[in-house]
Amino acid sequence: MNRVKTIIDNNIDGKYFWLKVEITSINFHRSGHTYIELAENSNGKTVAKCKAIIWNQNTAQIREVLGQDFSNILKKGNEILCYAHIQFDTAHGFSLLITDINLEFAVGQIEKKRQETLDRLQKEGIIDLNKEIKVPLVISNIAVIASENTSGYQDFIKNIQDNQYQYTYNLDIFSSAVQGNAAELEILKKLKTINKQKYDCVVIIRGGGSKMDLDVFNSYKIAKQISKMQTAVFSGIGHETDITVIDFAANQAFKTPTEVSNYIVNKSYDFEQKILRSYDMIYEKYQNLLARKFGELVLNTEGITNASKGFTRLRRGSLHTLMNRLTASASHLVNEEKNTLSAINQEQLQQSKRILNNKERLIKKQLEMLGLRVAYLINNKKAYLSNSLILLASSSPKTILKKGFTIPRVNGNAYSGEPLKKDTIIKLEFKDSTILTKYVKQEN
Amino acid sequence: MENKPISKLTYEDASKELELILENLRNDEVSIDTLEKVVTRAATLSKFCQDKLRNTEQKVQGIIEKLGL
Repeated sequence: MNRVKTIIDNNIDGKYFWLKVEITSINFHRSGHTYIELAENSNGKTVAKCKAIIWNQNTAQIREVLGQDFSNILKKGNEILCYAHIQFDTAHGFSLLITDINLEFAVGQIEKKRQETLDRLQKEGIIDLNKEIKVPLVISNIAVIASENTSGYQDFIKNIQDNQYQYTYNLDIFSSAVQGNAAELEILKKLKTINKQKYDCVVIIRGGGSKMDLDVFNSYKIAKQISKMQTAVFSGIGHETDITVIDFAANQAFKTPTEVSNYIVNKSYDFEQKILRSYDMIYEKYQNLLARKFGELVLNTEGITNASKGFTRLRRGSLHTLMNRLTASASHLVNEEKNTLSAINQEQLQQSKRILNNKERLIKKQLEMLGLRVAYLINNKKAYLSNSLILLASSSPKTILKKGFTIPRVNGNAYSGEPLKKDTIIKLEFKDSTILTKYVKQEN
Repeated sequence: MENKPISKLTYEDASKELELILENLRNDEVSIDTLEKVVTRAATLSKFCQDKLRNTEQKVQGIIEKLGL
């Protein structure tokens, strides 16, 4: 075998070459040496395999050159461009000794892989799913996936908690590694946990880092999980120039964690302003409407007052007219009756006058008759009287006395022969004398 | 002629009755014996109508004033 070693050493010693190959396994030995299994694949099949070693000295050099990206580049599954030469060891056989690793190639690989992932997500139609989720007008409950000790996280928390408008937010922190081998699984796990709860948004943040550092955010699995989320995912990863797969899969991508917090705070502010403007507008409209309605009411009320007055005035007029007519009719009726009555009275008067005249005439006639009769009677009486007087004169006491008769008187009264008390004095008048005699008795 | 109590009349009732009285008067359907009664009734109805109009006007005015417009 030494012969083989000699031949190989003589022929290829010092012959270095660039090799593009995939790492199938890698072991960072505590001695500082790095042991790698390399493979070349074609159409998903391994077509060549080889062992490779980076000696501790070279490992340190490469680590220094790659810096933070060292573990990101030198990891299982990565394709690398390495500078190597061949060594044959009698104990271990052939192996490649890697002395340098091309950073640009590694970065290019990351970019290539990133593009592939994007294409895949696009093809599967899931890259825009989270963009379809409507973000609430005001974000209040926030799930934050971040590494708590990073400056990106602290920027975000400070900016959102000490916001100038003093809005308060409920922040649930889902602490997770954001770089390294464990990061992908942790982030996936946190996203799944978050998806079981109700949040207004999920924020995935990470401060600046190298492209390799940020490579975890090019994960197909994380992007796919984001497409399954019920809540909008906001990403704020790295610096302004960094765009990861997750930025594409997220509802909204922001350049830095601070920008995510600014967006959330501004959204609250915009909403508040909109509400205030709406309130002002509503209040103004309300005032205008009120003024207009009040004006209408005043007009209507005046209208009603006038109409009401007109209404009563009209009826008062009608009533007045009606009462005038009524009074006139009643007066007319009374006058007519009066006239009728007057006519009747007139006639009655005429009648009465006629009757009276008749009666008067009758009475006159009767009076005349009466006069005549009275005259006649008077004449008769006169004749009778004169006869009587003659008779009387012939029968007067004096005449009688002259004829020799006497007039007996008792107590001055003519005595006519009635019985008297004895010795009653009877005066006997004679023609020229008077004698007194006493009553004796009545002769039968 | 119906003689409902005034208190139970509406303005329209009263107004109609007044017109009827006028009609009757014009058509000589009222005797002198009842004329006084009819005219008294008419006067009462007229007063009722006037009061009602005045009251209504005042009430409307009052309502409007209460509104304070």
